[in-house]
Amino acid sequence: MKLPTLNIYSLVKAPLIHQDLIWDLTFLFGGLSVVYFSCIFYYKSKLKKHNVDKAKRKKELTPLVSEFLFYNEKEGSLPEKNSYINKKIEIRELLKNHKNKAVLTEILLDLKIDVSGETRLVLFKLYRDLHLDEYAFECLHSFKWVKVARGMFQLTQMQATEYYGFISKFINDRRPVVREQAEISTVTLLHEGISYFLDNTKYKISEWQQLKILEVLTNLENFDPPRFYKWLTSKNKYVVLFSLRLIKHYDQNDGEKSIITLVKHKDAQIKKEAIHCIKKFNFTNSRKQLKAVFWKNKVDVKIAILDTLAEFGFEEDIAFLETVENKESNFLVKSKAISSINSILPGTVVPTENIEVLTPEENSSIKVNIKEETLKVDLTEEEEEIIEHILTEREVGIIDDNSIQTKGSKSSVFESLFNFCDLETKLFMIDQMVEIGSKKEALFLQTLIDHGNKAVRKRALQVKLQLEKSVDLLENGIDYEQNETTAKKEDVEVKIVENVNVLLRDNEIQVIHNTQLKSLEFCFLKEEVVVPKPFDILEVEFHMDTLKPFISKERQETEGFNNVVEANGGLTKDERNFFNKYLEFPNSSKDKFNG
Amino acid sequence: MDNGVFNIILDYINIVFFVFTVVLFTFFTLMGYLSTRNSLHYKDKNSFGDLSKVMASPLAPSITIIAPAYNEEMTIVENIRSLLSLKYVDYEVMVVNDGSKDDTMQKMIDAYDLEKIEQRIDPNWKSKPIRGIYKSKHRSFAKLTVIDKENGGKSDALNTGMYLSTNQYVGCIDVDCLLLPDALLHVVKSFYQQTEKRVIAVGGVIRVANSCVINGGALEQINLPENLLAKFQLLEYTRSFLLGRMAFGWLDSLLIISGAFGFFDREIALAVGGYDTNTVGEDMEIIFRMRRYMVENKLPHTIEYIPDPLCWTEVPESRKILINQRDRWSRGNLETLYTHKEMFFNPKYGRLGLLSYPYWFFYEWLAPLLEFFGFFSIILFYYLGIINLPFFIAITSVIYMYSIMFSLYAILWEVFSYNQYNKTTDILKLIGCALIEPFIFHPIVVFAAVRGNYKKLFKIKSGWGTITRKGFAKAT
Amino acid sequence: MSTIKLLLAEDDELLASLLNFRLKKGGFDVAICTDGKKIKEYLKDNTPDIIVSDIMMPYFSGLEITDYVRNTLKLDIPIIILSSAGNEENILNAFKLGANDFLSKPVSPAELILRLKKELTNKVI
Repeated sequence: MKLPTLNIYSLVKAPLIHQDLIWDLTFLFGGLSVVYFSCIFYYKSKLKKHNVDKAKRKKELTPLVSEFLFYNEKEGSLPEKNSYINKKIEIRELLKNHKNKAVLTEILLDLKIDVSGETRLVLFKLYRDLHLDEYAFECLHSFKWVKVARGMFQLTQMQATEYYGFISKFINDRRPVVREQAEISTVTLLHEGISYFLDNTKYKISEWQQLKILEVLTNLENFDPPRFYKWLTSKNKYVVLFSLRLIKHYDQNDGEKSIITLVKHKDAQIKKEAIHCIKKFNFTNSRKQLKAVFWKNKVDVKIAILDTLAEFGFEEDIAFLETVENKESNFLVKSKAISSINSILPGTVVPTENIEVLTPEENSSIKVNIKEETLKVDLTEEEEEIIEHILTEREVGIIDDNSIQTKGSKSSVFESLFNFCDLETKLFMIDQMVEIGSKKEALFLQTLIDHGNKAVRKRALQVKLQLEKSVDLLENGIDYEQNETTAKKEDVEVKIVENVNVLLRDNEIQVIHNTQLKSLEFCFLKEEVVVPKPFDILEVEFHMDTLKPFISKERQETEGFNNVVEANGGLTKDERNFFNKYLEFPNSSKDKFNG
Repeated sequence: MDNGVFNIILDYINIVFFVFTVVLFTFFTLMGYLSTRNSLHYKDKNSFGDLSKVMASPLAPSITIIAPAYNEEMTIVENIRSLLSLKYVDYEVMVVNDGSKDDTMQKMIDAYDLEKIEQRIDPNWKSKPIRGIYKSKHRSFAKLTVIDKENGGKSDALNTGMYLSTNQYVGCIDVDCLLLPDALLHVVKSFYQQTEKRVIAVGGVIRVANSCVINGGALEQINLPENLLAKFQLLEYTRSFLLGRMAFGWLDSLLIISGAFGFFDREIALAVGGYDTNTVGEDMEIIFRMRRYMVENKLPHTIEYIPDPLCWTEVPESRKILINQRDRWSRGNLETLYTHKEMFFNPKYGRLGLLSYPYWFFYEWLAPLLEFFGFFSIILFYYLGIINLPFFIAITSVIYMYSIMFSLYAILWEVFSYNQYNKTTDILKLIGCALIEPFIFHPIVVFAAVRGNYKKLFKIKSGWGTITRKGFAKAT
Repeated sequence: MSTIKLLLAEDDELLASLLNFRLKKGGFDVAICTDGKKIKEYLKDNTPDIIVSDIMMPYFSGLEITDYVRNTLKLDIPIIILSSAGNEENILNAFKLGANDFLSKPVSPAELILRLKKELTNKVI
């Protein structure tokens, strides 16, 4: 700065930083540190004091609450009555303190979670008796959203239905937490709350909120859900979505048209939910719609559509699925298409990659292994115990089984259904036999050990072992010799049937037969169609058969010539036999499956 | 060299330094304020109601927890058991054995009675080949899937899990982490609460489990770590999770989720191609990429952050492992920032570009380097006799004071929000750590960061070589 | 009938005190333990006539206590288990370990008393 070019340097000279300022800041931060330091310990001691105080109040109030909850007017003696009244006065006195009110409310809320039955009802009454509801109601007028929401929460927990009118007004409140609590409360307090909510809500309903509301609904006692399809026309997208979910949850299969239309909705989530409903309720009329909208969708919707087609698709859908398989670029969609084809027509597409070729010896060695395994009945202790537990639990069910069997045919009730259903259902049925099966199922399973499908064979074997064990336990020793002879007889029968099947296998009829392999619901669906009017069935069949050529394909689709026509059209003699079996099939078996 | 010019340059250096410090102070103060607001709001919002009731709801989403395992034979069985006992219905635990060289796989097969199942695999499989997919024969372990694959690093293992999962959400966790039973309920709540924006990821706070009593996969008693390094890290975690992330969460500009506890919307995570296998900072990088994807496709989105203590992990107690860990972090940081350099002050990315990215650039990446070079230039200047000593002392003390203040604020907040260290002596110890941290712990961290940057910038090969082992070389 | 000694093992103090009140009213001589350690200590010196135990407790769970009573102490006193979650596995394990009855929370005190009486009469027979 002593240089001649001083003026230039003064231009670029750095502005001076006041060191005093820096030191001031240092002291400021130091001071704040001290403040925080003391805050930490102040707050800690305050917290501790608060907890001690709360514990003290709890200790004081809890015995009083117990006293009130278990006081019985009729049984109480005079001194008891007197002490009851005195305690009532005492607690009223205590409740003049706001802290006590809060603590008592907390006690009651906690107890509500712990106790049930009559004690819970007495608890609700006590809450009102002590005017705690009024205290909570005051909170609804607070400016703080936490207080409002908490007040509502308390009133709801204590079933204070008289405040329904006030609370339900909050469902369109601007503050999210208040609004959400109001929604929950509205639905909880009165059974018609859900209708009010769906009618009036203007805000979006978050997934979490839907989850919670459904949870509330499922816990309502004697709740008769409204028909939710009414809200499928709502302007609020979220109401539509939620209604679809409720429809699915409550199995309301009315509103078919609306649901099918929603497949065309702009929102992917609604679309997906509608597809799920369609799948669940077997709305086979939707197939055309589903195929039409397919290409415009994202992967997950596409998969949902394919899944639905796999559920109730018909032979004519195969062409579409094959197009999907060829045109689609996404691997997941592609493989779903293949699996859908396979579930409509089993065995159409077989795996080609990495398949090991088994030599005859290997094949036979497997068989030998199976035979050896049948002899060994190795159940772990745990499994035994579980079976025992299940058996004792279901004693009633077993009696039921017997009655069904005496009424029904000599063979297992599963047998007739078994041949009609798809692989998944077959496996499911076998699983079911563990729980409800008896000797007859064991025999039936024996026949399945030679079944054409590996999975069925394997599962049948496992289940049979378990079943024999449990039947053994139940009947104290089964007469194996006799079984074997009957088994042989059964075997012969099955062999005959199988031979027939083998003969038919190369025939075209086989294809039609295959389309009849349906999922479990479908088996029953047909059963319901068939059973009430046993003797009409052939006539109907005949009628349809003759009609079919005269109806154009479009009309068949639009007018709902759906599964019945498809499934029953062109019965072979073999299949008619199956139907005949159905005629004898006891009605009650359906309840058994559902139960 | 002209003395006057040199003086002026020095003055300007001082000014730059001063401005940097002032911006830092303002920023951190603001951060403290925002996190306070967010915490208070969060506390009030969750002060009533019951989470656990909804766990079995038919509307509850399905979740896959992916736990990559590499040479974990000692702990794997216990860790899986703890993962299987979470309070939730529709979830799957997918353990990916990343080509362990020890007995990890056999230990799992024996303990959980696993058997190989057949599954079709995408012919265009992008990860390392899969040797087999295993399921348990026991019904009680039905939630468990074990994937045996060839070694490909943590990112590759996580990607494998993501591809094979069919559930809506995937959680990526470190297998040696302890999750509290409520963890998934909180995660689902966070994913499901938004209506305006799509929640693409949920992260949570990582708590320090050193010296805590853990019994049968459950946290029985919370203790302050006995080890000094662990104590420092606890303080650091408290600051960054309770204040830092909370503030960024409030501004919806989170750019990192800890790899030890992160949940993703599977669809989006796959849309961006999963984890990047070429970086050591994969947990940070995937968030950058997912966010960019959403912004570029104009999809409203957010990332949620859960401050509740749900995930507990052991932090390194030895200096060497700590330095390795931090070294890796800074390399990951540099790689991620470099990959996404277009975001730097780019208004297209909103707050992410204008606030989060610069924060990461200046204060997470640049600050340690500046400190390091600053320190040596101070020594140099001192020997040259050109140091402005009063200014140096002043600015050092103000920074020191500020750091203590900030740490104390974090401790205060810890006491206020969760108060998990009940003993007064524990709090005093933590405060003591805050006082000595700038002299003991901080230099270590700075050194590690400089080493990481040096490795990355000058010895690129060594940096890549360590990839396959990253994330798993954790002290237990 | 002399008073029946009942051990109530429940970590929730509120519920414990409530049940205690009701059980005392029902003529039981109640001892409350709020964690697993206390229960084991109590059982060292006392033999209750019946035990009501929660599953989730600090130190030792209700299942461990059941096991302890049956296999270590070799006592044949009735044990009724309480549990908040209707967890099937817990129930099965409880029965396997030798518990006599199971009540899920929320508990109805009236029902608990009835079950207690049933167990006690069963034992007499």
